[in-house]
Amino acid sequence: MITHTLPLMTRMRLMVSSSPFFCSHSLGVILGESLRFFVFLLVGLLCESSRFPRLLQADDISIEEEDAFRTAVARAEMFAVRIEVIGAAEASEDTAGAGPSTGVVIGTDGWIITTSFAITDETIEAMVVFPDGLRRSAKVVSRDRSRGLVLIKIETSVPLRIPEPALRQGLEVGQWTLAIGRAWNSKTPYVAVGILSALDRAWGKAVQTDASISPANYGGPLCDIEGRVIGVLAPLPADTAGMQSGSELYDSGIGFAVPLEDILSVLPRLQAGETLSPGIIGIGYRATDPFTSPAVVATCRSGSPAFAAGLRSGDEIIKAQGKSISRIAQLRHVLAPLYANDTVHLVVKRATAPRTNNTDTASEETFQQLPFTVTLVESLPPYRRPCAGIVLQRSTGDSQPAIVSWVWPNSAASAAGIKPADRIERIHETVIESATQLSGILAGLEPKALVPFHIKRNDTLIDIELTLGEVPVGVPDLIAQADLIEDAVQIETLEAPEVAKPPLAVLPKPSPHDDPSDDTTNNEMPLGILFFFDEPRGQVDKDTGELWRAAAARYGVVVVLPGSTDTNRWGRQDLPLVARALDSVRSRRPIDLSRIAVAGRGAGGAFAWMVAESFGGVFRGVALIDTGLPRSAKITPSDPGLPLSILFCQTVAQKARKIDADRSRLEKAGLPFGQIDEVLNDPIPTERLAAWVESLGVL
Amino acid sequence: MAIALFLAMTTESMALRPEETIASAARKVVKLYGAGGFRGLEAYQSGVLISQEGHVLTVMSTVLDSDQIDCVLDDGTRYVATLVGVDPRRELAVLSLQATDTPFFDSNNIERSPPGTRIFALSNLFGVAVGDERVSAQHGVIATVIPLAARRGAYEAPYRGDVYLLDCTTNNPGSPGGALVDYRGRLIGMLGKELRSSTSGIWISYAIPIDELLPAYRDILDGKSVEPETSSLVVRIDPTVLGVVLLPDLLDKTPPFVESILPDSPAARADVRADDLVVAVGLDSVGSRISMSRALGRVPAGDPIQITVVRNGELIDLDLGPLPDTKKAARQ
Repeated sequence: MITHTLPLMTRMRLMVSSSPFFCSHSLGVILGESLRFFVFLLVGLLCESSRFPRLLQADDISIEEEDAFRTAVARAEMFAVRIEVIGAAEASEDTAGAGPSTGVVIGTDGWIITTSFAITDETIEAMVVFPDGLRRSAKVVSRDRSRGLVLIKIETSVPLRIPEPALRQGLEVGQWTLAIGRAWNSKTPYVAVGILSALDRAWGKAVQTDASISPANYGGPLCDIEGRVIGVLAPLPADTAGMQSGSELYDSGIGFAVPLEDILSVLPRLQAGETLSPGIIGIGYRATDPFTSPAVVATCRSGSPAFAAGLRSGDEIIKAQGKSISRIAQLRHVLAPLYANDTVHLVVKRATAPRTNNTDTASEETFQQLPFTVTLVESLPPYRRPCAGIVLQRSTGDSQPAIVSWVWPNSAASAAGIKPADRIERIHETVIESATQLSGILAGLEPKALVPFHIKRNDTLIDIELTLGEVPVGVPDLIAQADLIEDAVQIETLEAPEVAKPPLAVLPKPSPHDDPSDDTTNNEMPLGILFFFDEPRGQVDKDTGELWRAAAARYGVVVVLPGSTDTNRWGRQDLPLVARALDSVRSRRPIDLSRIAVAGRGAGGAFAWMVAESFGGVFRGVALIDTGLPRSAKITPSDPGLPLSILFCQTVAQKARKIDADRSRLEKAGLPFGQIDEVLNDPIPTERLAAWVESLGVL
Repeated sequence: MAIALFLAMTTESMALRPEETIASAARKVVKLYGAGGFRGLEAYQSGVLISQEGHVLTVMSTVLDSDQIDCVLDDGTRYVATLVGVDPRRELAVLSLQATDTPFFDSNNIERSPPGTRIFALSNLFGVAVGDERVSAQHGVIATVIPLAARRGAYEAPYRGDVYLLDCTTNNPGSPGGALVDYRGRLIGMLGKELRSSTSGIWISYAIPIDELLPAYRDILDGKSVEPETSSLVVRIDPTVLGVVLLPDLLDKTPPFVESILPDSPAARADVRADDLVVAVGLDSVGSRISMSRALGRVPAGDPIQITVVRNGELIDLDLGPLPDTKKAARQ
């Protein structure tokens, strides 16, 4: 009995508390049971007036929304279809293309859009399955590689139902969204409900929802509560949202949909079979923080669309597609959604007077605004670092003068007559204050640019023009040698608590700087560092260290000889010791950061490459002795900010032929490389390798 | 007049605010404590009060393998529950509290809810509610209603009937046996055990519809014993019995490409050709050699076998007639 009345009484109290006549819930609680019943009656009487239905409606919002959900689902069912595939990728860790997925009909005559998650490049056959069991073979027409979408086409005799798009303009964060999928079942749709979490995500390519988005509904529609389609649910492709792959976001409360409006705007291009790729403009910015810094062009490579259109280093982009731009991030919002072959209209601010570092003249600088139209491309030719062929004296930091130590034979600098001890004062009108600055300026110039150098030689200023060439890799004979003071070389073990086999380090004493004009108190010449990975054999003994003593002293290079944790192989477990040893060496000796290199022989070569890739930007050179590039090597394309060159070195004649395959891989990546042959039958060419470390300073 | 109006409202179409629905339903969900607590097995789960006599529906699990099953109501009242019976096929267990004054769900005449129905899941997930603390409430919608066997991937669960898939993460340790209620406060399902796909590794959130459980519940009360279903061994049939020779199984998921046709076979008569790609057997889509032999095994004996192939981009249906008497042959 009690169990029956309790719910009834509960309901009665609920009615009271939610009626407009009783603002306070506590009133209902204070009243006794019998009193409450009278109140109930009173309310009932009042409810006969027209007020009551309104009261009931207010309570019914949840149910009304539920009805709306179901109606929207019923509508979406008509244009959300199941996609089945055959010939999926065999890779087990990747679920892409592994099972049925969903698509949205966007053309009455059989056009359907789905994702590259459903239909990968390996898919052999795709089929569209309708709720009534009807199956149609689908032809893959084109792909949108920027947004991870695939357009397919089926033959149909009857016109298909297509959705009404929910326009971007009307979207509001917080509105209901319904995600519909067909992956579980072709007859019953799969529905997940959430709200619109954000607009303009992934640099404007997508909207975001908190509805549960997973392989169950990738490719399906994200609908508003009226059943209009906001977008197509998609795991966004690599790096658009700062992640490797959008499917990592599965089950995270974050889901993305590519707005249908955007898809429809490029539908004719997709229907014509055009593969849409992200558009690249080819600009590098000067600043590292895109959210605070103006869009000033730092590098604008020849071969890039921006350069072809007439943009140049130093230009500030102030307008794009008619929108004012004051920060790099704003420009990215305009550019990221665009495809290759799209055009972008830019307005740049360019100084008309030459730039100098003199603050008096800077105020007189005048600017002009120039309009440019740039057609974006799919990919850029690889970056090739321009090089003058000068090698500066070693330095540890920024504020040391750029004094030529030696000149690379047959280089642009040697042809133009630059000589050792020349001090580089200016390039164009820019005052050179350090080797690092000079390196940065040269990196941003065109490969064959004619560059005016202003040089101070014996207190005389000389102007020299030279045409930049390519980065040479090798070991010229005339590399400067220090006096051989072998006794000053220490051979130590670099102990570190967590390193099982601590490396041996060959540490020369820094020799005094040979520049008489340098009157700084610390005039020790900084050293280079060479990590040498031999065939793995565990701990390295002191005798091996002795082999390097002379070379380390002559060329001012610290040689680090790590031991392998496993006596049979080098592996990932040996990577931490590299960071440890670098820190340890830098705390003991002044180091020139442009002369840090890694070399490996045989199996150690593959590991040397792994070290260089893992510590991107630290190592300037990789020497591979009696081995080529590891077959599985990841080759990061050449980049202005990451100078790297590769030296092949053969001590056994018959292994030489392997390099041909590596050559084309490196050329494709734009990386400079060279080979030294004269060391045949020298088991470890210590002198040549130490000299090569010195040569890495070439600019 | 007013009273009549009232009675009409309170019985049928009374709309509750979501907070009120939860408050009322959560009182009928119990916390169960039993065996476990080691090697990753939880010692707790949830249950729903289903009768005036204090019967509790819950999920059959190791938690119930205990001399004493403690049942704690939302007001902190503790009962010692006794196991009345189980249905291994649905993994359903019925407990008795031998109490008559507890609230309970009236679950008669509850029909199936369609996708888009808003739901609350009420359970003691992760055992966070202790003593007189109320179980946790989660909200979402019914994402779809499908047989548990016909889902993405392969789940190892004995139950083969329809389930409600939910769009929120409800199935966690402690939640099995919890209540799935709609916004009208009606018990529409019971949360199941944690399940994940053995192929894709995706965890699923689901509940078994109450109308699938009630007949079993009544059988248990009537003392009818329920035997576990004899393991339904999936019969695989090699398509060569139909004269279809497929590409050898080089990879895990070699697509069912026809390599050749045996002369004077059902396939030859039906004009199946070399290089055809088989995409469906009857209404079952097939993507690999294995799924094709499984699909053939599912065709009832004597029924004609229809396959769909892709040939030059066209889908073609081919009728191979009934299967030659191989099932019998296989048995012999």
